[in-house]
Amino acid sequence: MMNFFFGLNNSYISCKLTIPKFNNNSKYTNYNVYSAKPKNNEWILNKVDCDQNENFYFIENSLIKNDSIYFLADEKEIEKTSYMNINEFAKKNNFTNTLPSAFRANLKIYSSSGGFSSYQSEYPYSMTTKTGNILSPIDILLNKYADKNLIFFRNIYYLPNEDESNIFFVNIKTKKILKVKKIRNNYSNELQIDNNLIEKNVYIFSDFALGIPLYISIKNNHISFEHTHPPHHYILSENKFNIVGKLKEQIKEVINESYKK
Amino acid sequence: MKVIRNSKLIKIIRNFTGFKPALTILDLNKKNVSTSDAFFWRTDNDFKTIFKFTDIFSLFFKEQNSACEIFFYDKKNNFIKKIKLSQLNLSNEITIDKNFMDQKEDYGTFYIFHYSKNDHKSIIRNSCYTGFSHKDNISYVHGNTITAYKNLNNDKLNFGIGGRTFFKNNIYQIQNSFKNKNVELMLMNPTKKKLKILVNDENFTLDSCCSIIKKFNNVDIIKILSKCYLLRPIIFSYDKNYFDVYHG
Repeated sequence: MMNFFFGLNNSYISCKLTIPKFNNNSKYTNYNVYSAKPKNNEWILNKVDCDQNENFYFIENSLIKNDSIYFLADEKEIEKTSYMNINEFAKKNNFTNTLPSAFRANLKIYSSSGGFSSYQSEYPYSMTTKTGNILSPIDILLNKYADKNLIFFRNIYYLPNEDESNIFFVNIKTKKILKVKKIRNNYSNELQIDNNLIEKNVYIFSDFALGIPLYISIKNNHISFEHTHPPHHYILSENKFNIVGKLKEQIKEVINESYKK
Repeated sequence: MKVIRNSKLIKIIRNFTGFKPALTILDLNKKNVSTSDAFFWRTDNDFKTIFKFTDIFSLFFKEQNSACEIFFYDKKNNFIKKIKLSQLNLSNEITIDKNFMDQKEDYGTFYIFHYSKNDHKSIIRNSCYTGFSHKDNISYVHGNTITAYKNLNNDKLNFGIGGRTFFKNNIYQIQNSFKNKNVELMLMNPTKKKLKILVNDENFTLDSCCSIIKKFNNVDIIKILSKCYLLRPIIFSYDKNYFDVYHG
């Protein structure tokens, strides 16, 4: 199945997506870049009129919205301009389903001062069909002494809803919830991080949404931008989901005991 | 079926035939194994390397007294030093600068192995985060390719577990445009065998677990050919006073 791409921006961070026209097995033939955004419980599709050269599409900041997703598709694969879910066109497209390396786009963020940072990004289709929990440490990619620290939490869900859920900031040693923030589905959610939250043992935990946590730290106009891996990435044996599941259950217990009462 | 599929022999056969090739030839039926990505360090050109990592046994298994060892190698895979860290926090950080490297201004690789005296019946992987710091500005990148492992019950280190093909070259084309950009590619060979590598028009060889930096200026695409399945570089990109590090 296909991969999706996304961007993020705010009043002081812009972004640019560079999507290749090739994968490691072939070059595209009739693909174009499309965007989709949720509206009134439908995905509204549009062809993106962006710059391109022989090898890449370049989607500049002005074309990137926090509520939109981007993907490559042949015009023939897009039968309608609105869909009730994204399975319908995702099933027809496997150009961006590649091994051993995932089909990725370069997601670059930059500020007006010249600082920039990027990573090779993708949002796999398989993640869009599930709900779940993301657990990720916050001190490992943020800097307590930076001028600004942010996390963008990017969720893409196959249904075009904008449901809200929570991100908890949990100290997993003391089992205390330090902060709660709302996020919404199908959006690049910006979470401003107070520097005093950036401590060892403090993790973010999403109570209902899968997603990719993107960490941005800005100091002296220099930007660091990277994502964390999900916990099961750190266990290779077959018992990984069992072990990670137990850890997440412990966090859920903390939340149930101290927050939802 | 899973036991057969996960075995080292079957993975080597898959890689030999090219049918559903395996990225790593590690036997996933093993228990109590600590694996490590190959992490880059660099102290050349005023760089420092910050390594931030999670105590994996503490996070997942609630270990109280876990420890780790970090092994450092130069770019030709010569052993430099090792450090042992005990009483780990959940998050930990070390700085690799030229003082740490006995005034060496160079680059190479390092590997981290966690220790536990308990039987967790698991294989863990450290694929945490290296920050490259230049003039106090820092850019972080996560781990790259599993390259080494160690059984928890003996001292032997096993390197070069990255998957490779036997006949066919594999293409790794970096999915970014480098037009008008000044970049360095850090490559390391995660396999057991010497690799012949072609990057755009340049041929070179890289011995097992050795690393190299290649510079490129104003090319649209960078295409890497080798018998390694995932010869994924770390990319340093420079523009005026700013730089960025990410995996390719």
